[in-house]
Amino acid sequence: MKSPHRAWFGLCLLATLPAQTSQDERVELRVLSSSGVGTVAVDRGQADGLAVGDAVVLRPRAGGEYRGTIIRVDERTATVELLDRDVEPPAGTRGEALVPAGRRPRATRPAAEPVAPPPDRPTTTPERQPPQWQNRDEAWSADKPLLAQVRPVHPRDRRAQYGGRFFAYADLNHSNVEDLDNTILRTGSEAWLDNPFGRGGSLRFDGDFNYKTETDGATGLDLTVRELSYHEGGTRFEPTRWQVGRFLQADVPQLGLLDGVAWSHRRENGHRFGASLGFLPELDDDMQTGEDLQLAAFYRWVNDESETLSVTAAAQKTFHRGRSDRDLVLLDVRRLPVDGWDLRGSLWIDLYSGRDRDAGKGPGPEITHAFASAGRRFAGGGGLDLSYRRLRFPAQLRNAHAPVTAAEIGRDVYDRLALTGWTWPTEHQRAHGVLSGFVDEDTDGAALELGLDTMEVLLERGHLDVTVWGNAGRFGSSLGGRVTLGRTTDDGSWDVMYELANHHFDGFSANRDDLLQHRLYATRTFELGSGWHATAHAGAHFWDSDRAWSLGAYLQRSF
Amino acid sequence: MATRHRSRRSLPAALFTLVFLLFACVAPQTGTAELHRWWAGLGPVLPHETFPADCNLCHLGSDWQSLRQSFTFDHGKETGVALHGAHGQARCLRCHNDRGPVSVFQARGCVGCHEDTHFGKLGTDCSLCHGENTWQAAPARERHARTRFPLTGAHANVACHRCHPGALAGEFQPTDTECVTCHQQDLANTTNPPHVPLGWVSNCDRCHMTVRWPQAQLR
Repeated sequence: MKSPHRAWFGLCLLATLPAQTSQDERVELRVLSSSGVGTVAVDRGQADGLAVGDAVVLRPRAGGEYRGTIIRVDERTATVELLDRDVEPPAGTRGEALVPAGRRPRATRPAAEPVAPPPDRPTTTPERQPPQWQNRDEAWSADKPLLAQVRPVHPRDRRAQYGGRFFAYADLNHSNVEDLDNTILRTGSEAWLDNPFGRGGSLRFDGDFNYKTETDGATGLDLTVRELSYHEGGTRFEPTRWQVGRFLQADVPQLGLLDGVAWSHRRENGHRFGASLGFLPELDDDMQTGEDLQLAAFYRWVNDESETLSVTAAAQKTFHRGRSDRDLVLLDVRRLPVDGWDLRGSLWIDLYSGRDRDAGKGPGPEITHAFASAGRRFAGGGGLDLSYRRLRFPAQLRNAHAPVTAAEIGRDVYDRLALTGWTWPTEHQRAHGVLSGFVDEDTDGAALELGLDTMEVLLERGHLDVTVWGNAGRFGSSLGGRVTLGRTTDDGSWDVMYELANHHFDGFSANRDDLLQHRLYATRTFELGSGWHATAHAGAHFWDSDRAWSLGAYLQRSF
Repeated sequence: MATRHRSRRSLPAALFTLVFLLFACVAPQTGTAELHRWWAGLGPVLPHETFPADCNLCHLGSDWQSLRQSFTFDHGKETGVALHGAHGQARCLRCHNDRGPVSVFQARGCVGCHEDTHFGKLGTDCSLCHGENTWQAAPARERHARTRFPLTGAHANVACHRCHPGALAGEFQPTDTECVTCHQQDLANTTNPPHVPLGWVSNCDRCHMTVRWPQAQLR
């Protein structure tokens, strides 16, 4: 100690160290270089919460401790003045700084990260938050040490990858009532090949063969191709995206499946716009195409790059066999659950000209589909969802709603409001409920369902759910309850459900207006390893003197 | 004369050299990352800041793209976001890829990564019908009890696509609850009594329950 003043300061510093330990945070650091005159540079700085005056302890590999205090701070480095100016710790010497609690920059979530836990699981410990990202990739260059910062890997530097799944599915339904048997067998694949040309593109396929026998005796074998497309762009490297083939219009899925081409571009401010051209395949078993040509365009506004708030407007014009058909405007608003609130609203607005095909539908705009929801997730694992839906059948030449008659297209309207909630009264109990009401062209009604799912009861890793429900519906009212017992096993899970319900039909004589209905259902899943997954289910259904049963199996191999 | 000749030959060589140098200066370097054009402020595809400094714990070779066979990563422990079902088996790049920071897409829910094959008409909570092990929706006819048309009798044992024709393509458009919407053929085939000649072509529920056709009775 060459200065009595400094020695006194050092003693005070040493005296305060134990007291600081209980309140301060330790920031690990290393010596970058030593000046040889009692100061060293360390690899932590202002960004790590260090400030002038903070105490530092260095622990050389040879043993012992060197103490000092910070006399200068830069963003990423700091200068430490050692109490013993004669020592010269080598570069790499480990140590730590004591930073007062609260000063060190706290990790904060990116703006778009939801703070709510999954709705169906309790939160028993505070959720960890990812560290705040401070490096920017623009600062990276090839001459910098690799681990100084992480750079994005360009597609041309990556290998192509493939993956997907094969599946086979069978569902057999038999009833002794008028031979209402029906069967469906499906086998297909969903596969993707990413980055096949080193340009970040993706080739995708999703389709299956399905064989059906229907209740009316009809049988059919169909090939259903939901996707066969190739796309490029839409990434952080390439803001322009294009896609060709059969695909779901990714930017605005409300526009539907398309056989054609779509193009979109993301602007620097995150806004996105695009257009598409092609045919709309029919949404039935074989998905034939070629009759309905569509042109569509959209623009999406976002509040910032986190896209926590977005507003999308789209327009779609269709032609059926060359004749002008549907004029559709779409509006979509989405607010991501950055603070526990999840808001969503979509409108499908059909514009009618009042021509013959629009009989009963215009002229003018009509909301044919509306969906709005507001969801709130709570820290304890509970949540509430309020949703509203309006449906009307649009008048169009396209064969999109086969069972619906022209009269029903003209008059049908359905509004439904539903409140769904769940909470965890205890660590092992989840209470859930749904309250809903509807109004349609003929009547109105409501439904209520309340249940309690208890974990770790009766069986280890088991759960028991008891639910009661009531319904005032289109043709009468119902009251029922169901019990579900399930368990998670080492190789999967199983569930067994029994439901008993009494259905009361309006307008019938007292001795025939009630129907007691029993339903049994069991399912078993197997995780077989190596990507194999299997599920089997069986159900039985009894009412009056009638009965029905169903059997099903699902097998999947992921690759 | 000889000097002039050398000048003529050296001019193209000098131009070539100049062009080469210019190209070498401005051409993109193989393996060098391009700048992020957007989302740069939200971080890299796979943040490594909290990872151990010993790269060999995970990486193999020199291309930084190959991982050791023994590589494991406890996503729940390391990030606070546990992966369930098939998500626990997925490759890192399926989520952490060129689209941008995964947190942006995670905030959108399932549709952040999975296409909304129901055309945006069924809301955002896929877990009502789908699990995380497979994308196959579990049969759940009992959920119909929440609608205006609880499934009774024979209706409770019919495949979904019989009433919702687009079901196999993801389109679950509600069907009109008027009986003839689905039972037009049954109406046409009824001869005892002959419904159509009698004008009994609608409001079947005046005589029939939604259980089975034979259970007709007068009010």
